[in-house]
Amino acid sequence: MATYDVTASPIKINDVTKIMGKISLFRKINILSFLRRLNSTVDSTETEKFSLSLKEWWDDRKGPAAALHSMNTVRVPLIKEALIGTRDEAGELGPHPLKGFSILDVGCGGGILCESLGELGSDVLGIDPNPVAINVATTHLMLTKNSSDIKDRVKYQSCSLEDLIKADSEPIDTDSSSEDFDCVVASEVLEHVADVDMFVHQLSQMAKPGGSVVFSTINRTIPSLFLAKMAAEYIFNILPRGTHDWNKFVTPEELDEIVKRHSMSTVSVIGLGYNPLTNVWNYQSDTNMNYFLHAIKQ
Amino acid sequence: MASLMKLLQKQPHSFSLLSSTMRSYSNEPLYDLVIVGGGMVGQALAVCVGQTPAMSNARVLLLESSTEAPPTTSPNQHYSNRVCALSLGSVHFFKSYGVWPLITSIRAKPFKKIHVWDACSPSSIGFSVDDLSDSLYSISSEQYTGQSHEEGLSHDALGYIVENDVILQALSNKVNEESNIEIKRGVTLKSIDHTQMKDSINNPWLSLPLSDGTCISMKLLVGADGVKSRVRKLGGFQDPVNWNYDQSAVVATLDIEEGMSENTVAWQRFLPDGPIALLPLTDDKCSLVWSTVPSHAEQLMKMSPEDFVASVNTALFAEFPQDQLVSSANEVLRNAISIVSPGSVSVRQLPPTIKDIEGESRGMFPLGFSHSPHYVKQRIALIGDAAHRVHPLAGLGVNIGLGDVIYLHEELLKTSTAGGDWGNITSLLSYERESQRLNMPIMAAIDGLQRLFSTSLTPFVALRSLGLQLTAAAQPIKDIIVNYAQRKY
Repeated sequence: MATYDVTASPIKINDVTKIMGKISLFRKINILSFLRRLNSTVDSTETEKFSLSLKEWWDDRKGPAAALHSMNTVRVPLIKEALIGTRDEAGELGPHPLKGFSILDVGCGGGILCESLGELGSDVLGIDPNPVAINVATTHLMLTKNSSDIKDRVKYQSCSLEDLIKADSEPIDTDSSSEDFDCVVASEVLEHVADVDMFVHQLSQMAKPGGSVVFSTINRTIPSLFLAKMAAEYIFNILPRGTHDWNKFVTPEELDEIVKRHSMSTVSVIGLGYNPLTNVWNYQSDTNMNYFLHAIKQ
Repeated sequence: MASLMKLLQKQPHSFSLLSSTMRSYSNEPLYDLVIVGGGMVGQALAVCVGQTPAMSNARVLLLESSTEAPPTTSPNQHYSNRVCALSLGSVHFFKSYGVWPLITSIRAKPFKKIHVWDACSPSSIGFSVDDLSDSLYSISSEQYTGQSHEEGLSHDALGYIVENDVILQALSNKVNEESNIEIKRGVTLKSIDHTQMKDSINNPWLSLPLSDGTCISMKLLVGADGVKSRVRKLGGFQDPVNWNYDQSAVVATLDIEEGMSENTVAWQRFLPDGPIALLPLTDDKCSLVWSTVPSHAEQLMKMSPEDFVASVNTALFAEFPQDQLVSSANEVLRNAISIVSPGSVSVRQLPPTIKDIEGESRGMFPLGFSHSPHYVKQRIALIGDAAHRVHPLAGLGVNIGLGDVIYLHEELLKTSTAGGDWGNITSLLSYERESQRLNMPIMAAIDGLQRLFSTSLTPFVALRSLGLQLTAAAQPIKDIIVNYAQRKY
């Protein structure tokens, strides 16, 4: 990923170490990503579902990622609320309300969420086991951002969460102790992982004590079977068929239990409503379909 | 460092992709927002964006085709013949962006009543603050008049009559204060590059060649360039639905006889050829907006000042032949209403008598209705008259345009606070839905009212007369109309 800094902006190799605070971490991950993955929460059949092209990932008008683009209008303010206690809907906090915060986006895909979080001033690391998606994310960031500071704030790495944890736990440099994040985000990934319990445990490991872990996912209910799975994949064709396996969906109650097991406590759960005709999301009290859960690591 | 270099070489395939596409637009300045048209709505949008903290790093360009400097009106100067009736919603909008004190420091005249009456029947309606339902009134008294003293807001005003030039001057002073807004005068756009619409990945931004030979890129282009919008045309928008009313408006500034009471009523009379309106400017001056058939308008333009004043007075006071059928139908209704709700039938008041016309203040322009089926496209939005134009009948044009500014700004704010891209079509479509939802009914009402009143055919006259009677008596209908006039968006 550092490749792009070198080509797109006039940054000398000497500066790269300075700019990338997490450089030691990236080096470790790269080595690790060549190792065979054991004990993984990554489901390889799931990973292949997301080999979309740059055009597919970044088409906010139609196609498989359109709903994820518009979902930013609700999930970004909720992540903001988790970090700074307000959604700042009036925009009073200026253009960079998340300045100084570090966010890990697990399962970042084509970087739809990472770029928006980076726009608000935070330092974002997006990881995804699918190298195609990471390549899309990196390319898009370099293609479309005109200011160089956001390119420095947002980083991507093709690796799994366990790669990151292994890299984190093997101190190579002395300054690698503070690799934990203010907020760890698992948005629209929970429904795709093989072992939810272990995945949540890993997310918790990456958060600072007192930091946040936030989830957005689909509830396992009868309405969600018909609407989020059947209608989205077979009637509206919003998503490619087979995107979701309903049996993997997690209910908010189950998730609350799981986060408790891994020394976190749920702060809030909010329902997210989606209108497929207008591609508009809104907040709602009903969590039967999509919901957002904010937990704090103790 | 050696290991780092090795790492850098691991993803070589992305090099070519980048170098071929980056080149094409990296040299052009990239704006977050380009507004075409420095009229009231264009400048109002610039002021909103400039004053929103979340948008403070946005780079904004305002393109104005004319090279003229903004108007400078001093408080004791002659009145301009082009005025707006600002609703309280628009006043509130100007207040929240600090524009209102600049307007009142020049001049603005509150009106406390709207009096509408018909030339062909005995019916009339009057609106005043007393007509506001309690809940609305409590909102309005709190929000609009809380600081009435220092900001020159009258507690019982329904709206304000302000000259267009005064609004423009206040807005351009504000725009000049905003450091992130750049202004180019005397520049127009030559074309719009449509390749972006087809290939948003390799051409993420809209790029435009300008008449001064430069080329600029932007995330969002806003057409605020009026009825004959170039943005609408070059952007490939479907042609607007439009028709001319076969009417022209004659405007002028008039001196009136000073009456016993203060001049705070907006008068409007429906004549067979179109409505004539007198809007208060000062205690002894009014602004005239007279819509009539083009041949009559031309006559009015050519006649001597004395004849013109006489014509206006005739239009305001003359009794037109009233159809027997209409009169008797009205009589029946009037009796019926007075039985059901005594005291609700309004007593007609008289408009002021015109004394003289101010210098060369007469002007004339054709009237029309137009509505663009779409207000937005990927990376393009239309606001104000570029999207819709109404009959000046109710003085609502600019209020509807400012509504567009408010809804578009709201959507841009949502996008900004979610770290998104201003040109994204989903949020632009939300703007379109919201503003059309609110614009269509009032535009249809104005158009319908205009059509209904521009005929002297008996059934229509009877219908509108009964309509006006019913409106005067029926509180809920009156509320709807007053609500619109007072809407805080």
